[in-house]
Amino acid sequence: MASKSTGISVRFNKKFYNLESVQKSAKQFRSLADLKISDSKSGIDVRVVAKKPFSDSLIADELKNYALAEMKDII
Amino acid sequence: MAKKKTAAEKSKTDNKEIKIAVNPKIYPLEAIYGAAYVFLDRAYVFLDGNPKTKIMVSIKSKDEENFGKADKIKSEFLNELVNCSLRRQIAERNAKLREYVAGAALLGASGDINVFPVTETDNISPDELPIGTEIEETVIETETWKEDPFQIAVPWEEKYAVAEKVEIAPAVKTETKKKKTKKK
Repeated sequence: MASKSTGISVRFNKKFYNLESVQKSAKQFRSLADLKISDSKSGIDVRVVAKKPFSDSLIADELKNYALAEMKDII
Repeated sequence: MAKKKTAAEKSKTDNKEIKIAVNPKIYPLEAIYGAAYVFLDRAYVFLDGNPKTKIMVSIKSKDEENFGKADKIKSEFLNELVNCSLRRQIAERNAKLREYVAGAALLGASGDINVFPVTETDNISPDELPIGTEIEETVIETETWKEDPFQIAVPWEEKYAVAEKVEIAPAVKTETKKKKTKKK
């Protein structure tokens, strides 16, 4: 029996990404994965548990790209 | 002999992921964002590190077959970094000029103020002017277009309605004359 994925955690450095851009990006992936954002002093942590047939790492990578694009738009 | 460390100091290469360390004192953060943005369609880009001392850029290929060799990607990224930095520098340098041009264009479009006044000597090159003449900065009144000597602003219905009447009138007269002769 295949074990269920526990997900992957992505830490966004607050000096490069802001919470707003990460949240906005995470919204885009709600239908593809379960996302949990936690904001701390050290950074913004996003827990990604992808829904089938997607992999956790794929969603995490796409989330990183979206967040970067959002940051570029802000600048 | 140890190799010299460049602005992008070290780069750890992997088959899938490239890590490039960038010196933020040479390349501003905005330029790094710009260069990273260019690669978003081909790769997954992630920024980390310290924006004051060392910025780590991770580039991970989306399609390994078409992504090319790691060294090539690294070189492309560094080139893009230079491109973006230069663009930023030029944008900063010309910021005032751009603001002025945009402002002048908007003011000119409003029509209230003549931003670039036309002088009599504007259309004449200084060589064509007779020797000894002083160039006077007299502003020409650009109200002549309102006079409309060629009747460009007149609607065509009005313009040709008069002409048709004039043309039709003699034709009608000739027809009536013919009718009279037939009767005779």
